[in-house]
Amino acid sequence: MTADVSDVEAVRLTLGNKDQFSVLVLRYESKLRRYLRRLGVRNDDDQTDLLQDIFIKTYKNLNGYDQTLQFSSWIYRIAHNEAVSHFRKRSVRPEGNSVLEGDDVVSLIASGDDLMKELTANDDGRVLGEALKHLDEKYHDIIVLRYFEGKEYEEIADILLLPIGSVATRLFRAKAKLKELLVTKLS
Amino acid sequence: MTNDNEPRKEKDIALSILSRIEHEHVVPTPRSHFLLREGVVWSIGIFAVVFGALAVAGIMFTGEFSDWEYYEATHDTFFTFLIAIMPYTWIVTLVVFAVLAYEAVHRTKRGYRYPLPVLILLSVGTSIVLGASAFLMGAGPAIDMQAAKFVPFHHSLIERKLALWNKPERGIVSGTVTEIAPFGDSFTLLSPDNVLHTIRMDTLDESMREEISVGEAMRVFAPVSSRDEMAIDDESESMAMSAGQVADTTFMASEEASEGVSEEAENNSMMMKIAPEDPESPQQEEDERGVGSPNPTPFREACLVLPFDRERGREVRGDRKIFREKVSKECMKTFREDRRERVK
Repeated sequence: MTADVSDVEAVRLTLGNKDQFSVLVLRYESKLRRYLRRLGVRNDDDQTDLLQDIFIKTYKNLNGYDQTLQFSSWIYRIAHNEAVSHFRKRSVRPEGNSVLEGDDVVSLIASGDDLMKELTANDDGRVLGEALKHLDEKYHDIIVLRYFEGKEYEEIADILLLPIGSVATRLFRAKAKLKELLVTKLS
Repeated sequence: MTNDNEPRKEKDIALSILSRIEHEHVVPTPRSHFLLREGVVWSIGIFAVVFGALAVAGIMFTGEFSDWEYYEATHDTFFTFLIAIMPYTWIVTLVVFAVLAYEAVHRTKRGYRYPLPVLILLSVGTSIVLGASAFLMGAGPAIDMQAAKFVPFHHSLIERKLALWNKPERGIVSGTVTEIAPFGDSFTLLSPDNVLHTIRMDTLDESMREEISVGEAMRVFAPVSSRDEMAIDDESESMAMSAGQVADTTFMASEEASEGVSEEAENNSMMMKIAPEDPESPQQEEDERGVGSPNPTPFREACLVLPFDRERGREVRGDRKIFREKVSKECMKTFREDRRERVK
């Protein structure tokens, strides 16, 4: 069994033979692990445990997968919900810096915004990461999905179960809040 | 078949997941579960919209037949009238089911894609269309009466109007006609609080007199001037004291009220309802005649009668002209004097 099959085809094959599920696991494991880290799950063991839970849940709900959605949006939705539950169970806020080594998101977030460009002009990601840590959960998550995971508005809407209009509004507000925090931090 | 170049960690994860699926006997939830869930959620949404439609029909029915034309008789101001007739139960019902419809549709597979205003507008809009259709097809009374049977705190429109109109101190009474006098010059009304009112109809418009029949639920506009003095007609008294216990007594009003009243009415000024159950005591007889009675019940002369069609739940539509034009000038004068006294 190769990994060239589409996600939809991989789902169909998995429902016939559970061993085919490894295709989807291998395809999404690293992406989801990075996503969990950006959401604030820093500990490796926690990440592994969560990933297991995410994939088990995905397997259980394969018959409920709506093929009008992209599979990646659907599995990201499960991952997001599991991360939120994880934080709630432990009553902890997301930890660590969402900006990981190699992330080139500073310019991406600042693009089209002169003030933001100015604020992040000499930033290697650390200041931005610190500011992101202090954002409200809902603003933090949408910034991560848009600028770190590179998701389009429609995908974000499917992941967070929001109307597309609400995605745009929330993103706008998230950037405004981030700007405020950057101004505070840099001053 | 896996790619041998993939990091070992990922392969380990994949193997551990497959192993867990095997050992814990994890199986995909059947498709029927998801279909059933979707079906239940949609059913709740549809049910909520339908109940919202019933509420809309109830609101429209209440709004249409709330005696707007006679608010001056029942309330001091239009604002207090509005507060009194507002269909609170129906409005709360509509809001509750609109929220339920939104929550249900929002939880369907694609419902989250639609913003809150759109979903609320769609559900309330559909309820309005369905409810208006039901109302126009005449379902309003049936919905209102069924709701009165099954919904707590809700009274049917007729019950509410009977209560609204049962304010003798304002000159308005409501109830069921229990008896019409042999000469057809008065009738007896049993109010919701079990008080018998005897009401004369000498000066009542002919078209309104025809509406009165035994068993009919009526609202009566019969103001009594608070300045009227009480008088007793001895001739009527001997006629009336035939047998049994008096259930209610009315007395002829003063000179002012009697100005417009016919000679026959003057001669038959006291009407008594006799219930032949208990023998009268001499003291009771005196009380019933009003002799020495400190607070005799004012005599009522009907200026306006409005029937309900209670059995079929139908409301007889009023006309603003009736109140202003058909009610006699003397009656309106008495009503306005009463109102001024009350407001003082």
